[in-house]
Amino acid sequence: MSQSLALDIREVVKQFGSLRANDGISLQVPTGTIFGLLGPNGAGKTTLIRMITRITIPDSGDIIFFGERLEDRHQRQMGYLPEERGLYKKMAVLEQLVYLLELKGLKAAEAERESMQWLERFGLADRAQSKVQELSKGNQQKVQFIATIAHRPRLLILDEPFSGLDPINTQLIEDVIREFRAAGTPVIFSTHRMEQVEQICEEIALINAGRVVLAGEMRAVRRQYRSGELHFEFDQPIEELELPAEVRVFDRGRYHLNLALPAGRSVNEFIAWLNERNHVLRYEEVSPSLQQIFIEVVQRTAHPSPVAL
Amino acid sequence: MNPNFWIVFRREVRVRVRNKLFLIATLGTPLLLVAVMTIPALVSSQTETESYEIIVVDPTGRILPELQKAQEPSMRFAAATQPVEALKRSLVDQKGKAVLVLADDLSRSNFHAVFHSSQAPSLKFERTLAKKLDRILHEQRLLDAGLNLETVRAAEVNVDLTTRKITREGDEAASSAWGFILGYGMGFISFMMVFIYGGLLMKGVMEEKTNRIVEVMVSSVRPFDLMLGKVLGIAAVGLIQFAIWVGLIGLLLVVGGAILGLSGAELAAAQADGPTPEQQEMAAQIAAGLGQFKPALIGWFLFYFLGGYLLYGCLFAAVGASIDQEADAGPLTTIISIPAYIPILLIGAVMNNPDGPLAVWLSVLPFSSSTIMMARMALVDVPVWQVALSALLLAGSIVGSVGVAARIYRVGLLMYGKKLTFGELARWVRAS
Repeated sequence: MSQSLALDIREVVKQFGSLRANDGISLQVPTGTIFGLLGPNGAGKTTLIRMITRITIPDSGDIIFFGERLEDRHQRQMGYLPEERGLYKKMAVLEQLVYLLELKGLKAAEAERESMQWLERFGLADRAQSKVQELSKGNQQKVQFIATIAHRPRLLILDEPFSGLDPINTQLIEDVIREFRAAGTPVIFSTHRMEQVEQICEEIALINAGRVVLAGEMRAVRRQYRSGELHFEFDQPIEELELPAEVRVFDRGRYHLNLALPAGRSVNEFIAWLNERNHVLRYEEVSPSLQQIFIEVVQRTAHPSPVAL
Repeated sequence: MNPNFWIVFRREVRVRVRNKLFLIATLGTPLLLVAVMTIPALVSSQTETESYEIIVVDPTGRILPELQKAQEPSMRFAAATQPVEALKRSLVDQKGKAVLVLADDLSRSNFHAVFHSSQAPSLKFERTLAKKLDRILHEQRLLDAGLNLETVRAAEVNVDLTTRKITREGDEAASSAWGFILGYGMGFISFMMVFIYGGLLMKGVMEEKTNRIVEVMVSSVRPFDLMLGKVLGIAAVGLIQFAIWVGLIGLLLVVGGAILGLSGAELAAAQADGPTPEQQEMAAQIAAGLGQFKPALIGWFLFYFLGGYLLYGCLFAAVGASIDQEADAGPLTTIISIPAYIPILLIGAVMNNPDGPLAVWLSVLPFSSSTIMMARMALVDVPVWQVALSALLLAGSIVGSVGVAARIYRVGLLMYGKKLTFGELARWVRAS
């Protein structure tokens, strides 16, 4: 298998009692990408992530980690920030980081050095000896993030990494994520905040009811869900403008217009037609937001008959 | 052993030993114990100074001379020279003065005597005085009955029964009093340790779950290593604490004894408030028992303490892993605890017949052996085959307990918001 794949997940199945949480999931996560793992609550994302992080083991199917069959020893090469996370509240920040990093295979001295560097970068160096419970929630979150990344994992898995962070800290963490990506470390990023996914991810996979219902490059996905809707902005008010009957109008304002042309009608001809009546300042093709795609796909795949994709 | 096990183990020991509560319990317990043992002795040696000059109103005239014969510094007796009422009035605000009014008929079976003083004497003083009067009256009545006092005294016997135990090494002193104290003590301590440290363990596991750190942990450590690291870490803390206790108590007793100028036996006797002959006897027996204490017993104590703790502790850990809040722990811990309580309920019967079938069975079966075998070992020489069988069964059950607990642990750790039943737990064990 190609070394450019960080993860190759093949037909993974996990069943809990009568619930099939993962029903034959196949996914490829290339190296050096930020990969958005999306899905509604209860879709099976956490189940999948727990199998990738070797917390649980698939009932059937294979997970290939950088060309090797996934084993317990690979846990040390991953950094996982779970959605349900916490720290020992009564332990000092530095001691706690050293402990968690030692469990990832770092020597104590090395763990301390790395931790201090990150604490410094995150403006927490002076809190190294404070107990975790004395820190603000945002700062605890940053300590947790350091514990996830300071052993330089080959794969990062972040579940809602920005929850509870202010814009400044969000930016700080986003920068670090991008640095890891630039250094070739793949990042699996799971969140319900679609605008964050649009902003950060290059590839996405959408899981619903234990199956992958949509996967691919972000741009390709969005192109695929184009509706043909066009957005025009005008120089003059358009109250007087009368549109041809075959045009479908979605939205009409004093200076703007959202519409779709019937199949086969040329966009350029339509612009020329508009320009005879008013001056078109700007036009663009409206691509649906990820949010809209998410809702549409999840609703479409919710009913029992599985949709082939 | 997996390196992650050692990292978890080390943290568990370090964090707990550094905890302030550990320090207080570890240093405070022996201090408290020694204080309980020495303060009464100290206090009673301080109150020794109580003494009275006692004016005796003795209508028969036969008791005062005898009292004066048995005079001692704390009780001096003199004859009354004034009427009783005047004597009593003169006592007001007079410390160390007293009037003793005796009855006038020696033949009555109930001899009435009244002790007047401005302050009530101590119970001990009262008892000593009553004893003196008792003996004098007894002798006077024997005289009245026409008996020769010399003959009566010669007929008095003091039976001194010592017990010797015959073993292969020859015969040695055997003290059943000491064996009883030791047996009960070791049985109870080993029982208590299981619950104290088992409870700590359960809380620790639960804390990881409620802190939500557990998912971070299990993405680095196998749940089995995590559980074993915690279980054995706390066992190590228990052993450290135990070692400190033994060392400190020994040190404090030696130092304290030296300061008071008392040996251990004297201390024990003084503590018993007034060294009556029987109590002195017992103290001497305890002192002799200390001498016959077998070091192997410490080794077995450690084995059975660890064994009992591991057997039950793993199950406590499993309970901690499968619940969300402490309130849910009740029913599950109760069920686990019942077998641990049985030996404590039956320890009295075992001590009375330490080689009987009940004792043998309870000391061999693993659920009770950690308590009962300790009690028996302190009391009698347990046959080798019974010890071997008991140790083997205990070790085997620990393996089983760890296995069951590990399965519950693995499933339970990541399970939130689910009210647990035993049926559910059994399913987890079978399923994984």
